[in-house]
Amino acid sequence: MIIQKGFTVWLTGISASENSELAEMLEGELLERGLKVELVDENNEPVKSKVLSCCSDYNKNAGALAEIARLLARNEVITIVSAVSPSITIRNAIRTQLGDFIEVYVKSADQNIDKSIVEVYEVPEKPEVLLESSDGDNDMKMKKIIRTLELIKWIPEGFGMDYSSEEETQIQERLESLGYL
Amino acid sequence: MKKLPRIVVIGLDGSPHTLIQRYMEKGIMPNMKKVTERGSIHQMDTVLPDVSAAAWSSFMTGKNPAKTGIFGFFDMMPGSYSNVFTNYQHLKQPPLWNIIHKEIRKPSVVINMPSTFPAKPMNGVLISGFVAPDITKSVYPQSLLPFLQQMRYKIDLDIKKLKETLDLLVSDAFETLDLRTRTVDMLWQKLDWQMFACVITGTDRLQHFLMDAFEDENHPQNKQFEEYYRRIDFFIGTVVDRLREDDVFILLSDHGFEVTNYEVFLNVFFRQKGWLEDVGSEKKCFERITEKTKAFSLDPSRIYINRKPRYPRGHELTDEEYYNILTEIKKELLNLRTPEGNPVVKQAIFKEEYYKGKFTEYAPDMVLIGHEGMSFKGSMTPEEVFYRPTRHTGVHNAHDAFLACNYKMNPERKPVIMDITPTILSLLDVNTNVYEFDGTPISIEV
Repeated sequence: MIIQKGFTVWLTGISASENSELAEMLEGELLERGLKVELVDENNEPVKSKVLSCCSDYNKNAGALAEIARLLARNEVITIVSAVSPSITIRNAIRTQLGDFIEVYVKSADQNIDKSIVEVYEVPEKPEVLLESSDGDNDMKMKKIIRTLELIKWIPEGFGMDYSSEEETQIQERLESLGYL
Repeated sequence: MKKLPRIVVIGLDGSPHTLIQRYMEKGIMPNMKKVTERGSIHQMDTVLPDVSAAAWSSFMTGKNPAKTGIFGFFDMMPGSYSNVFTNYQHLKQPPLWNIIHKEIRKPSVVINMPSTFPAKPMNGVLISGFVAPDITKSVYPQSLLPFLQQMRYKIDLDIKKLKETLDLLVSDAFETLDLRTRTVDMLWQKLDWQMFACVITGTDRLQHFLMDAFEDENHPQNKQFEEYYRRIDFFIGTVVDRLREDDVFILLSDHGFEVTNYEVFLNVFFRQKGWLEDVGSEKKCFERITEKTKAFSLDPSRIYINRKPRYPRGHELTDEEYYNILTEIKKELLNLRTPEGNPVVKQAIFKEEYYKGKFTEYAPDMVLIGHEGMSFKGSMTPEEVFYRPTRHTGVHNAHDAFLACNYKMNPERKPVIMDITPTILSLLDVNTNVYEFDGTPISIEV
């Protein structure tokens, strides 16, 4: 019933756990909206093939995840990829390969990140969505991604939650007529 | 892969188990009788307060109001005495159809489900029910709207017709049921759904105004009331005719109904006891509450203590003082008698005894269960505590809802409305343990 386009939301950043948490929340929200969505997380089976220990491991992995996203997207599935993916060059290549691609940079303030990742990580130059601590909690960050997708009309918007005063009057009358007020 | 059964749910808003049983015995509901003879029917409890907004929200989530966040059609905005009308956006838990989509990626059709306005995107079709004020925001996907407008789809009966005659209300109920039936016809084949749900709310409306006509065979509208249920049964028959062999067909109501004996204006009683003081002429009467007020009531049976910081003109109370006030009110309510000397309140339940969840702090401090026929009201306008009903001859109850199925159900205890969502998901092989439902799956001999 829903006509949706396939596209990829790519969450990148030095903290794999923060990327994963946001990706899961985003998946939940898109599922609640009845959309076809799959989450591909480099930390989860079955795509997690081995312990990622160096920059080259992460880059190879990102390429494999991009191929999964491509196959899903051409079947009109929204794919959320959670991957550290430290290289700008690799991420840009994936962007070109996939076309309908949203890059979300999850800027982490976590001090306990593996130094080897921090050293090689290349910060995105122009991500479609930048998430940092000033954006609030994870729920607010997730909503920022959702709002971006709504604004570019890749997902349908919901109706606003507030009743107009006319609607309130109608509801009041109906409830009164049934003896509720 | 195991073939999962399709699930068909028909809701009859407010239809009492007692009524359904009687009408099956009298031959007024032969299709219902066939369904329950092959399967089974049980009396069912609903949630407190026994009002449709709370009850259907608990049905669709499998959770109690302290988790759904829906305690009635309206609530008070935190930190104020202003009413806010609850809507679908206030629902704090995923509804059944979203879980079905998440777990098995199959669509659902949901027609006239109360408390789902404004319609939100989902996998399938959603047409919001009562108290949706506007069809244009009640339909998802919006491509369906022109078809509904063309057939002059109605969300609810036009209660204003009551001002003319009760007969007009009944004929409006027939017309609305016919529109609902045509909508089911239109959507049944439209997509490959896993769950198809439709709620009929005309049952509740008629019972609000004509419950006495059900009980009194000499009532001028008695035959029309029966005729309405004959048509409901005919509608059930049309659904049965469409079922595939392995479809699971579930019918339920969200609360029971009984004849009103007295309308009991709790805020008037509170005023008489010195627990409530209101001054001024604010149209929104709860805005008139003063600092002297200890407690007040919202429809239908919700009691609130006027305590800071929840209410701006509330009292600073220690927990001990809070419970002392509640206990005093509970004692007086249990001692309250009708003009004939009959007891009014059967049970007065503190919120911690009943509500469990993140939103318990927003729950009423106490909820009441009345003796038979007691209709608790929150209006402050009347002069007296007790009035005989003149218009609303029926009142909801929490103990006489029904649950029926075309397969034998083997509940381990009396079913509650929160059992239905986990039951349906179990039939679809979903692991229900991860969802922290308050209901438990009922074993069904499929």
